[in-house]
Amino acid sequence: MKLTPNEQDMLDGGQGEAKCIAMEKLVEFGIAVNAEEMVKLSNVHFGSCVLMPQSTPDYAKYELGHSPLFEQFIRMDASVTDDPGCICSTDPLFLQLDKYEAEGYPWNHRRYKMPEAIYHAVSKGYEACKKMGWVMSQSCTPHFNTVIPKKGEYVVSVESSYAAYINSIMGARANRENTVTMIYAAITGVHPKYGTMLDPNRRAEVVFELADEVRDGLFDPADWAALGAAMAIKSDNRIPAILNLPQPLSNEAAKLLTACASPGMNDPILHLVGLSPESLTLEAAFGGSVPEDVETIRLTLAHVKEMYQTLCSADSDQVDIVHVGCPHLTYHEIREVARLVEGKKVNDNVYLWVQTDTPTYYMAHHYGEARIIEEAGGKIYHSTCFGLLPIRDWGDDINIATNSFKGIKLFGGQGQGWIFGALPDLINAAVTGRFVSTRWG
Amino acid sequence: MEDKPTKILHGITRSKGFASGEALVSEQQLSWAPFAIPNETGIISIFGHALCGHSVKDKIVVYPTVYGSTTGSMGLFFKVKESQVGPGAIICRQVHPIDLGGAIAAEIPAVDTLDGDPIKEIRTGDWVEIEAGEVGQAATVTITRKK
Repeated sequence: MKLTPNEQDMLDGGQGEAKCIAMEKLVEFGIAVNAEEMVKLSNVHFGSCVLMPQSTPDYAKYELGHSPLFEQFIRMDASVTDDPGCICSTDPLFLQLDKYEAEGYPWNHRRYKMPEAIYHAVSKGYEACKKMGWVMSQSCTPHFNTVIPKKGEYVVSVESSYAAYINSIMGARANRENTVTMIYAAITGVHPKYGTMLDPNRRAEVVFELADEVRDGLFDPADWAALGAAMAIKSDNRIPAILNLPQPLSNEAAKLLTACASPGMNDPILHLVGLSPESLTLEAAFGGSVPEDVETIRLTLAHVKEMYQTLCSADSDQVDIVHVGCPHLTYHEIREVARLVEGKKVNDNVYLWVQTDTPTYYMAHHYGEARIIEEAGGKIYHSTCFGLLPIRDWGDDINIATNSFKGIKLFGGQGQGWIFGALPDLINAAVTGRFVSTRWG
Repeated sequence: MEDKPTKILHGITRSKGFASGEALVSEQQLSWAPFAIPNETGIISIFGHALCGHSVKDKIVVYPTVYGSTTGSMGLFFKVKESQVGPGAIICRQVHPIDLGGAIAAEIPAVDTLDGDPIKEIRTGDWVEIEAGEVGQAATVTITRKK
């Protein structure tokens, strides 16, 4: 690989042991993926670590696998890159630390309580990462408030839906990055340039043309997730160019649509023709001209409706948990949840979990939506990805209702029944304990 | 010996190593994420997946390519190196960098670009031997079918 003098200096040990080890690993990976050079990063977005001895009960259940990669650098007292142009931020983990003892949350409810040893391990990891210099955003949507990459910048991200959003909407460049090299990227501020970072690998390979009834007929968050699901499944790992999207497209619709890349596609980029910075025309999405033999797939409302069925695995209408916030809810989405639940009472047998990031959580407290949700019996919390918890231990006799394609595809195989529904139907299910679909009449 | 090699495929080494074991073949894409194949069990637990309930421990796992969470990298690494319920090697049509990072860290072979479709050429239960000596160079996959 061709290295800059600064990168070579890191590799040669001129900037300390930590950067030397990290550069060695990055070069090894770069060779494996045929990278010719490194790129300077504006953001490394990775999961924070959990620090515990291997003898801790349930170690393997809570160690997602990456903490051992952190530990050698923590022992060295190493820091993330001091390059002011590169922010190192974190993805959500198991819980909101200051509410560990509070009841009715994903980490502490009638089916489950996170062991105290694990809580301490998470806290310890949080403090160690903070000391290393990570911005503890604990968010899967940092692009809405904490890290805002611009066109042409390079990012490595553990979070596929974030990678898809910044590629597709912001014009920055990120892979669905492997989670082994990311710690090395954080130490050095660089990463091998490969995959979706390269022009030829960003080009569209299939066209999706939305029928007018789709363009004009989608309004619920689940609609956008279902459209993304239909597209991801039909794309068969080809990069899509999408025609006939509504203009303007809300941030929320864009978030939910592009999040399909996480569970459904290899390359986290969708060309929203007329909107994506690199794809103001269909020709641009293909890098200059549209190949004559390219496949065009027409999507109708029937395809969207079909996904509502495909994403349901529950064998009854009983609902035990209603979960919204995968990816984390924006403030506008929380306003809508609060509007729907205001003055109602969540059923005693149901949990309503409203999951968001830290800044939005405090906005919702400041402006009043959090109080409305809590007075109704719901729980709003931050810093958490509830799917990382061992849901498989909660029993297979419960049903979880959500509007997240990503959540169902990533976490939905652990024994529980899952229901995919529109937001008013989800809130109604939280109140009644039964799911009734009214979205399609 | 009643078993004999039935086929040798040639491909490219993405992560180096030598391994042998029983094949587990998935026609669907696979994820090594802890919530897809739990790190403490090695049992496939994926929404809508035909191989739910099967263990990957010590298997030569054959699948088209990755799906799902990037945590598959560290999930693969952890299952092999820490909790000892991981596979002996992976064979894909295309090894995605998510899985490649995990395989390198786990020090198990990862092979792709074979001269036959591994999903069709290899069956679950076949005995598979992999020689993958150097990254980017030739790899051989020897398949022995049980009678």
